Amino acid sequence: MGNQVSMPAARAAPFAPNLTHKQRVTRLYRHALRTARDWEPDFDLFVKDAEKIQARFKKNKNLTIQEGQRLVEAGLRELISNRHPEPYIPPFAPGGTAYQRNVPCPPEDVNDLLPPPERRIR
Amino acid sequence: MMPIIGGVIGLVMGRKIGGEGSSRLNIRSMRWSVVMISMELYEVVINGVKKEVRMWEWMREGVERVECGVIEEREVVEMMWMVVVVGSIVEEYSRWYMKEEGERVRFMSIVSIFIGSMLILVGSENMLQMYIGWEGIGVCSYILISYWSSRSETSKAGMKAMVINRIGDMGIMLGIGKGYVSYGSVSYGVMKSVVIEEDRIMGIMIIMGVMTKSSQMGMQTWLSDAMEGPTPVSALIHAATLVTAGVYVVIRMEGIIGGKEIMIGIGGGSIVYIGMLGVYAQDIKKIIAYSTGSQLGYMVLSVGVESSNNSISHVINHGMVKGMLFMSAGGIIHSRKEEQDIRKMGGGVMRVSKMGVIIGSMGIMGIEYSSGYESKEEIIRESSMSRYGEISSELGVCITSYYSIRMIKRVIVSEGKKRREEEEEEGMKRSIMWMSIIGVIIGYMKREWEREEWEEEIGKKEKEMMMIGVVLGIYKEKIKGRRIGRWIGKKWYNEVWQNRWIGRRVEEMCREIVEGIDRKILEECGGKGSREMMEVMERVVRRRGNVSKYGIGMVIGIIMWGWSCG
Repeated sequence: MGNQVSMPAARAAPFAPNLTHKQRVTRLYRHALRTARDWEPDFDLFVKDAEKIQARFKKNKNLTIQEGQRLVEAGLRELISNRHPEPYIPPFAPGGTAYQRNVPCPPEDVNDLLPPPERRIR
Repeated sequence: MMPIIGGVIGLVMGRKIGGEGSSRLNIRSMRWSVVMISMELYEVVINGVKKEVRMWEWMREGVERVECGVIEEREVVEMMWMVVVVGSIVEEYSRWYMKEEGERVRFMSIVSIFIGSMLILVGSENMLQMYIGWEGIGVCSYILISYWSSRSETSKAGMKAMVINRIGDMGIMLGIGKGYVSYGSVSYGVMKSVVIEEDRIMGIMIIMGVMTKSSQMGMQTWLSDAMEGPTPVSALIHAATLVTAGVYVVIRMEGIIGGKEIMIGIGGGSIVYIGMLGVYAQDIKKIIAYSTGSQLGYMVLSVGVESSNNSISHVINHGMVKGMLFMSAGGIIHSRKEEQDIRKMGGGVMRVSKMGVIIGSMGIMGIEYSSGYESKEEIIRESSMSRYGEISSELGVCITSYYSIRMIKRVIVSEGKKRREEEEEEGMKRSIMWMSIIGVIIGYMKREWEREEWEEEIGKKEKEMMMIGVVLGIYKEKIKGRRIGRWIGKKWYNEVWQNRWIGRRVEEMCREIVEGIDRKILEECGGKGSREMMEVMERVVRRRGNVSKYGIGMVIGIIMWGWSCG
């Protein structure tokens, strides 16, 4: 579902394949909070949105797996529709403004540090 | 030539003198340039002297001579003064901002060479010399944007700036050719003296250069990506110099080129089109970049309504104010450990940088007695000649106020989370303060010296639009329209459409050319085909025992016959 829209890698974790249900729920919750934080810079106002999101998740805590999966799918669609055009990414994280800026050069004798050719992963 | 000399010496002797030595050398050469151009400014602007310095004859075609030199008229010297003043302050700022970066020698030297190229462009008397400066600033801009080349986004941004600007470069080249065909000369003075009717086609070609270099609507995507470069690069290049080069060339060619209504359309559209992109931007440098594109729209609109004096005035005021705004933003970013998102700013100390943001924003909004007030007011007044220009310039006031107030609110007023931060370096503070003082003085002087009696109606309407923008910026900062937000966040889907309709088709065409012509026809006729033919001939000759001897004899015979004839 996530590959039908464009989004930065930092916001793509809930759409990863082969996740357990618990992983999908926790990732959805975390990214819902991050999306709310993208839209609301004032922390006091963000806390109110966060409490609403938390209440929605708590209300649906004790459901069957099938109902839970259906709700997770709906939640992911809502996450896509609510995504911010410029989500916040920390500067030194992948996708951030300062990521990979001054990458140190590898040492000259790097071959000494590598395992022998027959044991290298290709 | 002082900046270029300083830059070249810095590059050549960089290993010996080091980054600090290169910085000092380049800063001193810039200060000398400021002194010399200030003296010329006094002579030309105050005393009213017009000078022309011819250095050498470059080429000659019949009676037409192309000479390299400098022409010193009022607008030329004012522009040169702005370039060297902003350049010297930014170089001083860079010395501290880039203190901990590697390859400072390359950075400082290329900045100096860039300033030298810009001076060549500004002071040129003919279009060919102007084009040398035009290309020089393009190349230096590419090198400086891609400074942190280990980062893939930065390399892509540099390439994008280069590729998009090539379209404009092609337009300028065609314009030079058309100018020579139409007027028989590439010299501005000669063209103005022989012009009977403005050349519209030449105007369209030159406008292509303006659209790309000055980042107008449709071609603005490179400017926001160019924020990948260091902040001093943004302060110098993407605020004061390179982006104004297109507007400056059009101002110099006023009376020669036509297409004024196109300029009104593009300028007015850019004010709103690019200004709206600043509404949703969260990166402080991108907000300022979009603001630059929008203000450049005012300058292009002003040329379109035949108000070039106001346009050059706004170029100079805007250059100082925007440079200061970028430097102040850089001070905040540097102190916050490279944090550029305004959602994470607020609180903290950094008094000088915050003062710079406030003064700069006031100048951009056009508040009375600020640096940008007088020139912007004049442009809005003159643009009332065209209904479209009037509406777009007034909407632009509202949009500018909105994103400026939003930026001030986030960066200065709001209480951010307490984080580790440092006070700005002393050198950076000095640079920001110098730029503020010069900008405020210029704004005040221009206001007092060139004050006119305006119709109250115009000033009042502009103030109303500004208040609407201010109120929206304070109370309606979060515009959570999903569709409109996505449209603006995707830069009006500019890049998507350009890729789909132009990029992919050109790529397919190039692939067909490479595979169909290059790899098949040219290779068969060229190297690969020749090699196969030689192999076949060798096999044939080897089978016949004496044929090789006959061949050698024939070659010797031909050589001897040729020798006897010669």
